Amino acid sequence: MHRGASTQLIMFMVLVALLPAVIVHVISFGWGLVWNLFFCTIWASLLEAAVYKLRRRSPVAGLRDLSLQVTVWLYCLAIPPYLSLWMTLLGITFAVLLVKHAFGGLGQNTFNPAMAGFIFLLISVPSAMGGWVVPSTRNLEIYNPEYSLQMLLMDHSDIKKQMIIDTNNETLKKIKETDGATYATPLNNFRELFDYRGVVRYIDRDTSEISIESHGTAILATAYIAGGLFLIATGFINFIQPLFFILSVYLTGLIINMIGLKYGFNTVNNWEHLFIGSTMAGAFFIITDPVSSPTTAKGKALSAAIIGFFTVIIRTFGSYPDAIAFAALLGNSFNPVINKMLKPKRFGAGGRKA
Amino acid sequence: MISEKVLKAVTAGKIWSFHGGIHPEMHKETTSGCLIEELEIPNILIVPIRQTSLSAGEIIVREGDRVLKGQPLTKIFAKGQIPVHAPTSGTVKSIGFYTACHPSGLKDQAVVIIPDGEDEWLEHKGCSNFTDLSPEELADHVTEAGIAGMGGAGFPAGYKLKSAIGKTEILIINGCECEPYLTADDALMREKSDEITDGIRIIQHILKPKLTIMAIEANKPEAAEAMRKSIQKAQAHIEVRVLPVRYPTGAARPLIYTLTGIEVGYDSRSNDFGVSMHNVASTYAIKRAVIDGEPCVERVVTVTGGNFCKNGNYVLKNGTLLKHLINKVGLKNNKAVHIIIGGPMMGFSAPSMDTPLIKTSGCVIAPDAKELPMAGDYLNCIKCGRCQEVCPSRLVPYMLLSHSRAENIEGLKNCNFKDCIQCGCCTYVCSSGIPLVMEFRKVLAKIKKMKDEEKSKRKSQELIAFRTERTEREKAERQARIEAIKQKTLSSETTESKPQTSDLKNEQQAKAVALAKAKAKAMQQVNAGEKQNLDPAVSADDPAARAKAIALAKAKTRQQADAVEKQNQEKQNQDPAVSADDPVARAKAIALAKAKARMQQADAGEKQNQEKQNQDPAVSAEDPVARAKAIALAKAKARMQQADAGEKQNQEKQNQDPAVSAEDPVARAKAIALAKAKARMQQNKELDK
Repeated sequence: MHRGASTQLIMFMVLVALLPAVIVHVISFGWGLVWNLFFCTIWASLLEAAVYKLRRRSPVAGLRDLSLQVTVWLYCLAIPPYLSLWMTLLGITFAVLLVKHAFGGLGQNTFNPAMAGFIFLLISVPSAMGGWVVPSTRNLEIYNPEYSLQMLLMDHSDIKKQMIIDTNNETLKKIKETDGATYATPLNNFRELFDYRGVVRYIDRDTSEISIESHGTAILATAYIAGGLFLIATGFINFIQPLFFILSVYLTGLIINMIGLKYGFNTVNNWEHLFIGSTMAGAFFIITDPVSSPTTAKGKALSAAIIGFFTVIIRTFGSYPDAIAFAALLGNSFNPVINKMLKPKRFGAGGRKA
Repeated sequence: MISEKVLKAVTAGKIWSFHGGIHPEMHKETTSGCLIEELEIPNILIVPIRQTSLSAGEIIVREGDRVLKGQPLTKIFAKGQIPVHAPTSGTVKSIGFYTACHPSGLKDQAVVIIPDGEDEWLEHKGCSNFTDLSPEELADHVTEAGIAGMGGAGFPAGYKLKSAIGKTEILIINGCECEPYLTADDALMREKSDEITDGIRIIQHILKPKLTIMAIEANKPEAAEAMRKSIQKAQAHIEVRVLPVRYPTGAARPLIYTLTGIEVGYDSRSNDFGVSMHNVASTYAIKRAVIDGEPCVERVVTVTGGNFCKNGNYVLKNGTLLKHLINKVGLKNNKAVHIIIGGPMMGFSAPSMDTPLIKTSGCVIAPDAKELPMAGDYLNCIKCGRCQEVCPSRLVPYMLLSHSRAENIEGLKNCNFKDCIQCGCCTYVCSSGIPLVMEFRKVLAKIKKMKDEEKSKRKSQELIAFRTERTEREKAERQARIEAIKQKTLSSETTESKPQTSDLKNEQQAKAVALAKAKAKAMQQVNAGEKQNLDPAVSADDPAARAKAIALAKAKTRQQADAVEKQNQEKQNQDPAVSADDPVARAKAIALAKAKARMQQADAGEKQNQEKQNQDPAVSAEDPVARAKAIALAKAKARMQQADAGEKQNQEKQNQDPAVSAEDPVARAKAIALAKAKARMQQNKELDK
C-alpha cells in the first residue's frame, strides 16, 4: 500500500516555492534569469537524457521527477543574471554530469549539484562571477528580454562594461565610481558589501522607505522566506534545518562581532548576516536538499548548524564573496560521519530487563 | 517487573506515543457494519499442517480415513508445535504437497479433505467451570485446540500463555485492528463480546494479572461499547481503553509502549517486562476451546475490496481455497485478478487461486485497479528521510534498503535489521514509490536460506562427532557379541529355509517380533540422545514421498559409480521403507539390490553382504517368495564371507534390522532417518579421507 507525496510532487512544490524569489529576482535584475532558466533547462535536459540513454534507462522517466528542474532553478538563481551563456552552460554541465550522474544519479550524489556548479564557475571564472547588476526597478526596463539575450551572448568583459554604462544614472552614480557594480571590491572594509546581492545597501541608501534600491537583498531574502515557510507549512520540508541554520548564522555572527569589536577587525552586523547574500536561499532551499543532508532530525540540526557556522566564518575571513555555497558543500561532506554517529536509538534500547 | 509508579500511571489511563506511524485511509466503512456470515462448506479443503511460524506436527490420519469436524489431523511431537484439526467432517482424499499460504507460493505438506457436507462434530465436551482447572492444564488445553495467534503473527497461543504464567502483571487484549480494510475483530467484538469477555476471564485465570486492559482504536466505538457492556454484565475486571487511531498501534511492541510506556526491545520478550498480550480473535478461540471444547477450525475473515461483489465478514473454515471464496462472493472483474491475503500493509499477494486460507489469514482483499495500484516503476531513493520519520522501530529504512540491495548482511545487522516488523509504513510514505518491505522480505529469505545451509552443515558435523563416539562405544560391545551372532546366522539358515510355504500365522508372528524389536530400538535411540529430525519425505505412509526416495536412491546410484560403498549404504537405508508395504516397489528394490550385489561382488563383497543381510529381514516379513530369494542369497553370501565380514555385519544388523522390519511407522521413520544420517556421515568421512 502506498500513499504519499511523490518525489515529483516534492520537486514541483519546491519549484512553486521558488517562484516568489524568481519574480523578485526578475524585477530587481531584469530578464537575464529567465533566459538563463530557458537555456539551462534545455541544455541540462538534453545532457540528462543522454546520460539516461547511456545508462540504458528511460530518459522520459528520468526527467519526469523534476529534480533536474530544481537544480537548474537553484543554479540560475545563484549565478549572476548576466553571465556569458557558455559559462552558464559549462557550470550546469559540470553539475549534471559530474556532480549528479557520476555519483549515480538522483539520490546518490554527495554534494548539492547546483552549489557545486556555482562553485565550479566561481573558481574557474571569478571575475565574471562578480558581475552583478545593481538591483533596481529600472532594471526590468533596461534589461528587457531582447537586450538581456544580447548581453548573455557577449563576452564577459563586454558584459561588465555594458553593465557600467547601463547603470550609469543619477541614483547609482556613486556605485559606478567605485566600480562597485562589477567587482567584489572591499569597501568600508566590508568584504561582504560587494558580495553580489549586498551591493547597494551600504551606499547612500535611503532607508526611510523600503524599495528595491534600498533593500534589494532583503526583499529577495523575504521572497525566499515566503517560499520556505510555504514548504514548511505544507510539510514538504522540515523546519529543523532552516531553524538551526539561521540560529547558527546569527549566533556565530554575534560572537564574531564581539570578537571583532574587541580586536578591531570589521565584521558584518549579525542581523544583517541573515539578509545579505543568499542566507535565506540557503536556509530554505539549499541545505534542505534531502539528498545531500543527513537522515535523522538530530543529524539535520547538527549539519545545519555546521553550515551556518562556516557561512559566517567564510564570510568574515574567506576570500570568496559567496559563503553559502562553500559552507553547504563543506557541510555535505560531514554527512556520512553524521549519519553514522547519530543513528536513531533502536526501539527498546532504553528498556529495562526484568 | 513493573514498578508501582508505572502501574499507577497505566491504571490512571496514561497513553504514551510511539515513534513514527502513519494515518492511512482506512477503507473500513464497506465492511464495518456487516454481520458475521457463514459461508457454504466448500467441496474441497486443503489444510496445511504448518500454520504457525514454527514447525508442524506429525500427520496422524491416512488417506481414505473418514474424519469428523474437530478431529486432530496432526499430533504434537515437539514444543512449539500445534495440531491442526479437520475443519469439517469428510474423507481424507490425499496427503501431499500443496501451495502454502505464503508469499513465496512454495508447496508445503497439507491434508486434503473432501467434506461430506454433514459438518458432523467429533464428540467433544467443554468445561464451563474453567476455574477448576489449573493454569497449566488450561494452557495445554489451548495448545491442543491448535490456537495460533490470530492477529497475524501466528505464535501458538498455548505456549505464549504457558510461558507467561506467574510473570504477568499487565494483560493486554489487543482489539486495535489498526490495519486498513480489516473489520473482522471489530465484528467479533460487536457480536461476540460476551464470548470474548469469557475468553479474557480464562486468560486472567491462567495468568493472574494485576491489570487487564482491552485496547480498541477510536474508530470502533460500537465495539468498545459492546465490550464495555459485556464486561459490566460479567462483572469482570477489564478496562476498555480507546486509543487514538494510528497505524501500527496494533503491533505488539508499539501497543505495549502505547499502554504502558515500556519499550520491549526486539531482542527481549514482553514476559520479561511483566506484560502479556493476546489478540481478540485468539481470545474468542480460547473461549470456544475451553468452554465449548471446540478446537480452532475456522475464523472470521474480512472479505473486502472494490473487486468483490459482496464485501463482508465471513466465517471461513481452515483450509478454504481462495477460488472457493471467489466463487461464492463473486468478482466484478475477472481479468487480472489481484488478491491480497492479510491486510494491505502487511499482507501479501496470493501466489495462486489455490492458496488455502489458514488460522492467521484475517483478511482477503480484491482491490480494483484504482484502490491499491501494483507497485510499478519506482524512482531512486532521494534519502528524504520520511521512512525514518514513520518507522515505529526507529530504524532508517533507506539505509536498510541500500544494504538489502547490496546483500550486505553485516551492514543490515549494524542497522538493526531484525527489529523491522515489516509494518509497511516506510513503503507507504516513500516519495519514490520504492516497495521497501518487499525488498526486505527478499533479503530475509536469502538470509534464511544461508542460515539453513549453515545449520545443516553444523548438524552433519555434529552427527559425525556423534558417530565417532558411538563407534568407539560399540566397538567394545561388538567383541562380546561376535560369537553369538555367528551362531545365530547359522541357525537361521536352517530354520528360515522352511517358511517358503508358511502361512499367515508365521508372518504375523514375525511381524510381532519385529515390532517389539523396533520399539526397543526406538527407545534405545531416544535414550542415546539421537534426536534426529524425522524426515517426512521418506515417511513410510506417503507413496509420493516413497517414490521420490526410490528415485533419489536410484539417481544417486547411477551418479556415484565410484563410491560403491556409499551407494550400498543408501540403498539399505531406503529400501526397507519401500519394501514394507508396496509389493512392486519391494520387488524393484530387491532386484536393484541384487543387481548391485552381483556387480560389485568382487571388489565390495564384504559390504554387499552386509547390505543384503540388512535388507532381507524386512523383505522377509511379508512376502514368502521374495523372502526365499533373499534368504538364499543371504545364505550364499554368508557362507562365503562369514569369516571376514562377521564383525561388520553384526554391527550394521544390530543397528538397522529391527527398526526396518517394524510396522510402527514412527519407529520405522526414525530408523530410516537414523540410517540415512549414518550413510551421510560415512560419505562425509570417506570424502574427508
